[in-house]
Amino acid sequence: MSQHPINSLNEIVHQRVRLGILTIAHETSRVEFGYLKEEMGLTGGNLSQHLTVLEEAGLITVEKGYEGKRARTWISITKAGRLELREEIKQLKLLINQIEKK
Amino acid sequence: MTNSNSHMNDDPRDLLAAQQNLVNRVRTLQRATWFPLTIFAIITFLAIPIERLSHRTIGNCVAKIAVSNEPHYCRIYSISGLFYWPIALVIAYVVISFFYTIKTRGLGAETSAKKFVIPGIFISIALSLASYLLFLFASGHHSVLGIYFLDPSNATIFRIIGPSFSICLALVFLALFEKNYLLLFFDLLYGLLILWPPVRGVKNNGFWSLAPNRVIDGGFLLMLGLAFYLVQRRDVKYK
Repeated sequence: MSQHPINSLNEIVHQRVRLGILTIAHETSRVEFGYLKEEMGLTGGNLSQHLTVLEEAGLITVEKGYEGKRARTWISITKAGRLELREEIKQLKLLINQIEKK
Repeated sequence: MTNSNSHMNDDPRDLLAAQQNLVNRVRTLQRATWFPLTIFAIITFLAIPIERLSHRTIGNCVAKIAVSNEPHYCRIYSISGLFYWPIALVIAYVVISFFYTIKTRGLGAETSAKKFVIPGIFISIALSLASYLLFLFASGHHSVLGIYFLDPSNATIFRIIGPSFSICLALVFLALFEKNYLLLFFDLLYGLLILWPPVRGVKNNGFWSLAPNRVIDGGFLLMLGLAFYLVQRRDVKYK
């Protein structure tokens, strides 16, 4: 039995906000918390929750530090995160193909 | 995924479109094509006085010229030019690398320009080395080089290993790094400008003989840099 693309989706990545975080992180060497918050239109608390999920899954790393006196949090995508993102995009394209065939 | 579409459903088409939209927004913000172009224009203009003031070795193609009455294509690279270009290019890449890092860090979406800088440094060193080896070869084989230069079609090799073409090749990597296909198009034009015989070629041994080529190259890069600056500033404003 061939597997339907929907069964290949990773539940952690197949979520709008988390997919967005991974997408932005993929385009950068590291992305700042404030940038993500603004770009995704989220509250700090909400973004933190999503980041925790991604970090626990090993898809991102979170690095806290200071720039001058200002506290900064930087997020970087891991190798596993890149692979999962690529897989998610692939599965989404397969799903779209299947929808359009019908 | 952004403010404007945070309430959309999870239709794969919407997800993919939103994902692509995010990619474009980040890339638009990170682009700074104008900066490397301006830096390359500056080092091209700076080469004019350096090449003018430096000692040059001239190939012995007098016999051939006397027979064919062809214009001179005999001049060999200026010695300081051989040293100026690799040093200037490597410094330029280091400055560009710092600029990208600092600019994008300030925006909160840090990126490293190493995908452009590393190939750029490699190309400039490799072509400079090729120029240097050719210089060594030519120094001992004036007549061979003279004949070589006398044929304008063969002179293409000297344009290919020259600094302008080194910049042209590096700009391909800049276009790929920034996913900037408009730059790729203009870089192709720049390549044609460098290689197109009617525009190029050192046709005399005058002290300013290389200056017209440098003015054309530097002017092109500077104008392109200015155009990209205006376009990218507008893009970021309407992001």
